[in-house]
Amino acid sequence: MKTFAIQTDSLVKTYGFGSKQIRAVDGLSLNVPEGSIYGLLGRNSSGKTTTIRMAMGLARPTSGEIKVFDLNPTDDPERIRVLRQVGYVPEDKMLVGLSPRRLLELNRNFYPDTWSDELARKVVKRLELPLDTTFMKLSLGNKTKSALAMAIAQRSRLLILDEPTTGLDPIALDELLRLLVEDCTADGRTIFLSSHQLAEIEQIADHIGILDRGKILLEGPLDDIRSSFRRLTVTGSALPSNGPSILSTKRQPHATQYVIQRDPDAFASKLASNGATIVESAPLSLSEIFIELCRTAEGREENASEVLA
Amino acid sequence: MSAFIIVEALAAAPPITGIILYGILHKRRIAAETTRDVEPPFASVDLPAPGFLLRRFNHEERAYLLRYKTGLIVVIAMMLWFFTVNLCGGLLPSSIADVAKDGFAGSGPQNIWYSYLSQITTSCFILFSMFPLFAGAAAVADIGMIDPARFPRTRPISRSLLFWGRVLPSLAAILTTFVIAALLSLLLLRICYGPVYNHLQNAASTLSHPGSADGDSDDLTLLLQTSVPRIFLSGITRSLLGFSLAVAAMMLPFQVKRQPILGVLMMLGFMGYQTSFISSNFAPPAFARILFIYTEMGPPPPYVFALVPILISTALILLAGKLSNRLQT
Repeated sequence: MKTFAIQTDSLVKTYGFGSKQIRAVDGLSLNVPEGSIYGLLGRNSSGKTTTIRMAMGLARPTSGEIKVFDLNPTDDPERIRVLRQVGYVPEDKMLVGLSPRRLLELNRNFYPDTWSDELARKVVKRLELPLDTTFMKLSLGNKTKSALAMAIAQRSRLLILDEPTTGLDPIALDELLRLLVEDCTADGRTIFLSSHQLAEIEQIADHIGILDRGKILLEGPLDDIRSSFRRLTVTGSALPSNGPSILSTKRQPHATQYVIQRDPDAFASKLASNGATIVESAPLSLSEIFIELCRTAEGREENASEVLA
Repeated sequence: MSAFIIVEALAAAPPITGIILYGILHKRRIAAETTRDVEPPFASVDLPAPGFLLRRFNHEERAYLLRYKTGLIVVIAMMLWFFTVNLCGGLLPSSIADVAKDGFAGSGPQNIWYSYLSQITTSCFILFSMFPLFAGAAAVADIGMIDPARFPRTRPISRSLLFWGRVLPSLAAILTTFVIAALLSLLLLRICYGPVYNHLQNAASTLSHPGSADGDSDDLTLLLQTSVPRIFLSGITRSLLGFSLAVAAMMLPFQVKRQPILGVLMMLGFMGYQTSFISSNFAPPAFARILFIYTEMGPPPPYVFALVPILISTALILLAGKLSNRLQT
């Protein structure tokens, strides 16, 4: 039976009151399989950090449900059981005003059963983290490394990383991705990371969730998503402009370009049987899929607003 | 040199020296650590075996409580020093000489007793208001703000321990150091000048017309009316009130704390709170009496009014505890 590290059901989080109310997360249903590397992608203010804060018990859902290892992270005592199993890197990397060495020494005592000094040393060495620089003098990149070293050395069942690449140079970034794959996924452990860095996520994630304006636009195994999206350039007459598998259509002078979001081969066969010619069939990168999905969602939202107006 | 300057210099010298020493030692330690290799374990900082007080807590909880230990020791040392120096300020020869200069025409022991009590009632208002306020704010600073709160709030510790693990030790430290300082000041008085309070019996018998226009009699009457236990009890209740106000303010939800109007209201409240301690000229007597604020020599407020600040403080701390449980954004 498939088990989940994080599951949300119709999760809603609003801030403010009355006309100033903001719906940061809007009916989110998310399934993060245990043992996966799950990349939560989204634009700025799409609700990624709010979702993570709810998973960490730092924010209370307005409605809906969030479960981490089938436990409720909002209230004690289940919250404590959740936090015992989670390593966390916050978005702004602000933790405690201590040098990395002191921070690691302090954090070790909170995870006596799982903490690994050896892994801590490995992360420190590979990320070239200066251990004795005072917190105030640490660069953003080193604050990120410090938070990462702390979370990784916990060897938690679930690692939640909110924008874990902030301030990292390309070498450190490469080392981090290697560390995550080599050392953090053993024994069925799960990594849940949010990021704008689609290229990096694409390198390591096996599951993806794309979030926009608090809603999930797409979720699933990365390979399935990649195979279900295709850009088709087609010529012919009486071509359809919309349909269940069509995400977007772009009419050009001599051809029509479709972005297909499910079963592209069947769609291409159907067009061919209707006399159309498939000029080009190209896969989409994760970045292209992300942009297409967000733009389409934005267009739908604008159309809905116009209709309402 | 005036007694006030001596007291303040005595009060300030050790903390300033301590800060300078800490800076020097901290620099040396950092320099020593920088030369250390990464290879050895991250120092042998395993938690010590739990003592009587910590036995009931698990490893993570002890890590949280012990993290605050050094800070608490510093706070205790500083408070004990501040309290003791300020409470003993009236025992300085210059303070006693000032009493005579101000026109109080009592005997030698009466002058000493008058000087001792007037220092505690009229000159220690900063001690009883500012210090507990700062101590309260400092106690919960790292669990009551967004950024510093994130580390403790994402460790496997219950929310109630997060709050009470900070508040109760700090509160106990304030109250205990106050009581110790009060006892020390009385002990010092006894050692330096003997049981001067015994002479009050003579004063009472020689006082012919209490409340008359005679200034000396008035001062003597005030001295006789002053209640030492209630002076100290008032110090405790004021400290408690200042501490609980700071804790409650720090635990207000982030959304509320961001409101500018709240900042203005809190500033006004703080100013009002401060001025009420300075003199009864600033605070209505009834208000001071109800809150058991006893800042001038003379008739004390009834003991029963001590319950008012105690109840208010208890309510504020319980409210802060509730707010702490809901402290989320």
